This record gives sequence, structure tokens and C-alpha cells, in this order.
Amino acid sequence: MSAGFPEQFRDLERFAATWAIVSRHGRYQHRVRSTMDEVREFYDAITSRLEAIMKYLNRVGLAELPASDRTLLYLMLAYMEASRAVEVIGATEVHWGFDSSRLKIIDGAEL
Amino acid sequence: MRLFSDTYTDLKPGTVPIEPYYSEDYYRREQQRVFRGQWLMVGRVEQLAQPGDYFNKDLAVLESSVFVMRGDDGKLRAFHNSCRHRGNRVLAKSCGKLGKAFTCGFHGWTYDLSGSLIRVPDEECFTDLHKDELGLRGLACDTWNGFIFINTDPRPRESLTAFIGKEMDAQVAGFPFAGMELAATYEVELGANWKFLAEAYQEAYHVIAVHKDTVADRGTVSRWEVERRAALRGEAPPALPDDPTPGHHFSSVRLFDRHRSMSVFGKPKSDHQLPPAIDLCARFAPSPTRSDYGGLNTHKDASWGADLHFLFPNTELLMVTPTWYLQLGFWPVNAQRSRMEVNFYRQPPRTAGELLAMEYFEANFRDIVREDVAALEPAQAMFRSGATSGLWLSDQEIPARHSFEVIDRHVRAD
Amino acid sequence: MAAATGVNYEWAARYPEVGTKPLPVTPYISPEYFEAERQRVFRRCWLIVGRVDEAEKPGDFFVRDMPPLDTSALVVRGDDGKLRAFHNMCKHRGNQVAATPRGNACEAGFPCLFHGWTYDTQGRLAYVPDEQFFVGLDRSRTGLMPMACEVWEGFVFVHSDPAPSQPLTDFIGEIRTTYDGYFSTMKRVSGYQFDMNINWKVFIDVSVEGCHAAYVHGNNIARQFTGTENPFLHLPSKRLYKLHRTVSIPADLSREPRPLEGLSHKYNAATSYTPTQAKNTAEGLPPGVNPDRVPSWAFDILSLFPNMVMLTAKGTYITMTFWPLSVNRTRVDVVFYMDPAKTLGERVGQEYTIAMMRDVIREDADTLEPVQRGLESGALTEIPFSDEEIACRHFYLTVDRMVKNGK
Ligand code: FES
Ligand code: FES
Ligand SMILES: [Fe+2]
Ligand SMILES: [Fe+2]
Repeated sequence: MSAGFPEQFRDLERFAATWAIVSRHGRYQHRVRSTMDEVREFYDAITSRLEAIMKYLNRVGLAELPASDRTLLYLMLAYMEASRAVEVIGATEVHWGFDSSRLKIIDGAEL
Repeated sequence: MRLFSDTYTDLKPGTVPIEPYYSEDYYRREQQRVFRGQWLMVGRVEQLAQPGDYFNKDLAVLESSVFVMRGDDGKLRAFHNSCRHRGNRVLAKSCGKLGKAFTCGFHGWTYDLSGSLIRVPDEECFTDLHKDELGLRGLACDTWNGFIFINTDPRPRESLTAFIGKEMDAQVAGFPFAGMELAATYEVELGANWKFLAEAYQEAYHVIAVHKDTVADRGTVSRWEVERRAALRGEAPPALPDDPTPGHHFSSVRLFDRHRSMSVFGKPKSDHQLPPAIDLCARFAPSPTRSDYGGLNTHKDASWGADLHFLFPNTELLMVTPTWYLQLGFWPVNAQRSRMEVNFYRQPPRTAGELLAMEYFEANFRDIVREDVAALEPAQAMFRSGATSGLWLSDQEIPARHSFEVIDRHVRAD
Repeated sequence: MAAATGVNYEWAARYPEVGTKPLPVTPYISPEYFEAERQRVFRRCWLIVGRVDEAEKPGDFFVRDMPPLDTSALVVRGDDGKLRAFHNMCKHRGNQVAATPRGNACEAGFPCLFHGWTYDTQGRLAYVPDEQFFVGLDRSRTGLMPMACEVWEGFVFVHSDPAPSQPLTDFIGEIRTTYDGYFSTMKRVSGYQFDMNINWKVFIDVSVEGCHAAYVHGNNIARQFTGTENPFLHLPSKRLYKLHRTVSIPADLSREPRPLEGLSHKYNAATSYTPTQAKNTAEGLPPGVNPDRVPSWAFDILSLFPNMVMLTAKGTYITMTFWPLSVNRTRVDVVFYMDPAKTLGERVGQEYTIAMMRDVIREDADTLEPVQRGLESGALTEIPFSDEEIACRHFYLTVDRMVKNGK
């Protein structure tokens, strides 16, 4: 993830190395393997800037989004994943299910 | 209280036998009568947009690997992926794009895009070889709403249109399948019989227990908890108000000859402030570009949340909005093993907001799938114990019962 | 015959019904024979699944997989204090009702995680969510499916038949009273499980003879037992009962212990398989342990039919349960029990014993997969068990009798 980061969200760039993951499989695995504290820290940081981020990313169509915004977009995709743990389940993992590594996730369309 | 079985009186209440869920014999008959000679959904036309496009499908239940390819003439054809020389897999990759012809990697026999054998190296060395009789073995192939179906019988007893039937066709008529893209595929192999797996997607009863932290209505979860505790203490359960739109009930069920459709209740809009990410979905999810799409809540249930359409023998469509849907395939591997495939199709997102909202629905489903099937392996491990000879199904689980009965009817047919 | 070959058939003379003839390999390699064992041995015998102290208080439960019965047993002490066993299978759609290997169900009962049917600690179906939608369901007839459950000397036995024709005391037979109190003072200290590519009987065979010790355990503990007097570890006591059998392992008390072993003995004479001068008799032990009162005695092996082997010494015993998964695959479940350590020294000594015996069990295990492959190769059609191996022969014939006559 070296394609740059929008200046006004520099404070979130510290999450890029761990959370800006390109594949769904990677994002899912990262969520279930993180601690709840790690997930919450990331979730809280994004939530506090949510309005500004959405305004920024939605300023143009998806196809027109410059490469330098990609990292932020991946962070937001991971945010949707992380929100499941915080807003819905109350844990990084479902209370009952087969091991997450058995779920093969194959990305179709890009993103 | 009105029961679904009051309408479908030929479906007997009580248990369904357990033996068909592990018997090798029963499975062999399923292979012959439920899968061979029946129309099976294997993909979408968008995967094969151009002449020469193909995809492979390994189908253990047919003991074959099958590929579907678009010919020069624009026609879709399906073939057993096995060279007519010595049986090698002709197309090795899971999907790809071919030129005018393709060549077996073993000894170089070459076929054209309609599956005909056009070149045999060293042809003089074969005695009595008739190239025109040695095209790849074909299967029947046809489409419905852009879904590709195959049939091992090259001249099926029944057309795909007749197989789908008017009733099922009407359920989804008008749904914008064509404009969608495949966003992601989820796959998992499970130590459980394929029918048992498919049935987990044809009942809503498990919502309160299995999905207690995810899909379930919190009020109902705690209500059941209160009732359970009272029952364990031997007390009568407290009188609690009925939920008029319980998330673990079907709002309506339609059982056809072989297929079936079910709908679940919707949740009334609440005035509670949504949590931030879910609120983001509500605000940015793509709204249908046309308000007059059909194919959803065709039954016009007053409170409606989603439709489930199950196509005999092993496919389901889960439809909630005109902007995305899920297709599930329940494929046997053997009598006690199966592979589930979930395909998530979506309207191509136009903005980051649309993308994120749809990503949320997918993330949601990753959790749900794992919960849905959590019980299947532990249960399968007990099927041969002799502890019971039948599984109970409630009236609410009538689609699962129908699913079993239809398969059983085929297995027993002469 | 004995005179001609120079072989002394001392044990066969004592147990003439066991005989001396070589025995066919079939029972170790035939899938049909294995299926017959599952039906006629495992479904007709009492099988040990644990100890009573694993379910002491009302509501306590534990779950044990029983592969040859294709089931998982749920053993639970009811709120009425009675110990019961059930198939761990919900009567709705078959899910396993106890979702954890052990716990207490007094508060919550057993709520099935699939759809919430809930059973109480006596196995009764107490609650069915949305019960009104089940047409013809009678909750009084859809409790958990019971198995018979009885206790002998603190061992929990279950029988797949809820009302078996043979009571447990009958099944235990001749040794019913001879272990009186022996097991009760000892507690589980360690345990582990592993799967092996062998027929389940192969490991039991190696456990009831001493001939292999000098070879297989040569570097480890053989010398503690063999000595110059008894290089091939002949076993001075062999008792063959109707179903079960015991052998006694003698000790070579003249041998100098290794340094750490000596230290372990010093602080922990109480729980050891390698005896010392100070602890070589059956003093204080019930008549079943060292039944022939062998003077220099290390420990006994009790082969409790069909699939349990116990190594019974003073102050410690090991259970090894052999659960067949298929004709040539077996799950081995090992548990160490010891008198609770009273000092740190004793505790350290126990650990020495555990480590040493783990190696012994591994040495046995390592030998056996090649043995199984050999048996399967067809090179051998019969096994010439020696007179010293009469306990193997007896075990073989006991299984065979049940497979053929069902008794
Ligand atoms: S197998 Fe294909 S050319 Fe020989
Ligand atoms: S399987 Fe136990 S409640 Fe459904
Ligand atoms: Fe579900
Ligand atoms: Fe040994």
C-alpha cells in the first residue's frame, strides 16, 4: 500500500499497514484473528472521521477515484468488516461455526 | 393457528427417515436419478461473454469434470472435459479464453470450439479412426434468466423451460439478473450430507439459536431464554406478547412440483439510531435505478424481508433487493460430504458509498454462512448411532420436508 | 511335542482351552471381521468411558466419542444425583446437544445450539421453541436416547443397549471384588490422545506380553525388569479369566537406578513403575493387584475386555483405551492416575514417571505400524503365538468367540 494517502486523513495512515487489505479473504481473516481491542481501536478511529471520509470518497464516481485514494478505500472496506465485530456480534468471531480458514473466499469483480 | 400443512396436505407431518442422509446406496441412486438426467445450474452467461470463453466445473456427483464454452457461432455448449483419445483432461485451467481451437496436452488431439475433433497427429498410425465420431462428449446446455444449466442427457426428456416451470419462472420474472457482476464466491467443504446442508437453507427456525448474535431479533432471543429457564424449572412460561413478524418464521411458502419458494418477514422500520456502519449502508446503498423491477415479493406479503427460491435438486437464490442477490449451490462430494458454493452478484457499484454498502452485506454473509452450517458436522457424526431413526420437522420447516420428499420421490421412481 | 522341540508349554498346560496352535491373521486385517467386531463385540460389551469423579456433582457432565458405536456419549449426573448416559444427539435434527466436552448443566440444561430444543439433566426434553408447529410431537417420548450406565470401582461403563441382558457385575466377572478400593485414592494427573494406523487389537497384544521388552524398550526401562535371570522378561503371573486377563511384570531389584531415577525414587517411592527394594511387594494392595504375590514385583497389566488396558502399580495406574476407527486405524487414549503428591519432591518424581512411561508407550507405538503393514502384506497367514504370549492368544480367542457366537 504505497500508492499514497489523502493529506487530510494522515492520522489514519497508521492503520494502513495492518488493515488496508486488498482481498476479502485477507480482511476476514484479519478481523477474526485480531483482538477485540485492536478491532475496536481501528473501528473507533474511522468512526470518528466517518462523515468526512464518506464525503471525500463519494466526491467522484468510483471509476474516477485516483490511485492515491485506494489505500483509504481498502481501509474503509476493512471498516465494514470490523464493524461486524463491534456493532453486531460483540466479538471478533461468531459464537459458533467451522474454522474461518476453511471458508475459501474468491474475489470476483475487482474490489 | 393456520399451518402450511393445511394447504399442502400430502406432506405428512412427523419425522423424515435418517438413513438417506448417510446411506451409500441411497447416494448412488441419487447420482443416477437426482443428478444425472436433470438440469443443474452451473454458472452465469456473463462468465462466457465472448466466443472461446469457457469455465470448468468439477462435479464429483457426476464423476466428471464438465466445461461450458461459447462457440464461434455464439452458442453455449457443455462437454465432459475428457479427451476422446486416452481420457486426459483437455482444458486444464478452471476458466479461460480459447482461440479457434484447443489441443489436448497429452498427445495433441485438437478440437474446435464446437467440440469436434479436427486434428490427430500421426493419424495414419490409428486403424479405423473416424474423426467425425470422436468429438468431445457433449451434455445438454441451456439458459434461464442468464443462468447456465447442464444436463448429462444430451437429449433431455424435458426442456429447461418445462423443468423450471411457469410457477417458478413467475416468482422472479422481471428481476434485473442481467445487469449484475459476480463480486465474490465463497466455498466450503463440509462433512455432512448434501440434502442436510440444503435443508439448513430452507428453514428459518434456526435463526433464533444459531444466529442469536447476528440475524436474530434480540427481543425474541431473550424471550426464548426466559421460556427455556421457566421450562427447566418446571414452571409454565410467562405470557409474553406475540411478535407479529417473527424473523424465524416464513411469511409465506409456495411448494411447486419440484421447486419451492419461501419468504421471510421484514422488520418494521425502527426509530432507533442505527450504529455508524449500518447507517452508512442505509444512506449509501444503491437505490434501484428503476422502481418497477419485478421478481421480488411476488406473493405480496404484507411484511416482507427476503425471498428464497429453491430449484430442484441443489440450487437456491436468495433475493432481498434489486441491487444484489446470492446464488447457492449444494454439491454432494459423497454420501457424507458436500461442498457449498455461494456466489454474490451485485449491480456494479458506481460510487465508493455503494461499494462499501454492498461490501457490508457480503461481510455479513461470511459470518452467517459459518453459523448456518455449524451444526451439520456434529449432527452428521451422530446419524449412524442408532439413537433415532428419523428427524423431526415442524410445520415451519415444511420446505425442508418438501425438499426431502421430492428427492425421495425421484430416488424411488422406477 | 514339548520334549521334541525343547519348548515348555507350562502356561498352555494350565490353560488347556487356550491351546498352542498358530492363529489366522484375518482378524487383524479383514474389514468384514472388523464390522462383525463392531456389531458383536463393541455393541454387546460394557465399555469404559471415564471416571465417576468427572461427573461428581448434580448437573456435571462429560462427552466421550465412541467411534466403533458411531456415537458420542453424554454422561451426566442428574439433579436427582443419578448418573446416566445418553447418545449426545438432539431428537430434532440430530445436532450434538452438549456442545462442550465437559461442564455443568444445572442452570441451563442442554440447549441445542441449532434450534434451541432443551433437555434437562435427566435427558428429558424440557423445552421446544415454537412447539405448536410440531404436529404429533410428544415431548415425553423425545428425550435423549439413553444408553445403559453403571459404575465399577469408580469407572463409568456404558452399554449401547439401554437394557443389556448382561449386568455389569457379571461382565466384570471374577475380578469383581478383587480391586476393592485400589483405584479410589488416585486422581488424573495427565493424559493424551493419538491416532495410529493399526488394528486396535495389535496394541492390546503388545501390552500383555513381556517378550518384546528387551528389544523395544532396551534403552529405556527393560533393564529394570529383565536382569540376568530373566533376559526375555517372562511374566511370572498370568491370569486368564472369562473375558479379561492380567499379567504381572517382575522387577530386577539388583539393578542400580540411573541418577535421576534414583532421585525420583528417593522422593517419590510411592508412584513408580520401576520399583526399589523399599517398594516391591503387594503390601497394602487388594488381592487383584499382583494376584500371585510375585515377590519382586513392578506392576500388573489388566486387559479389561474389550478395549481397555490398565497398568496398575503401587500408587499409580495408567489407562489406555483403544478405540477402533476402522480395521487399520485406532485412536489411543492414555490417562495417568496417581495418588496426590504430598510434597514437591513427590510431584517431581511423578513427572519423571510420566515422562518415562510416555516414552515406553511411544516405543510400543512406533513398533506397531510396521507390524500392521506386515500383517496386511499377506506374507503371514498365521501368527505363531508363543506360550509366553498366551495372554495375547487368550484375548484373540475371546474376541473370536464373541464374533462367532455373540457371547
Ligand atoms: S489423451 Fe488427449 S491426445 Fe491422447
Ligand atoms: S437439532 Fe437440536 S434443536 Fe434442532
Ligand atoms: Fe441461517
Ligand atoms: Fe511394551
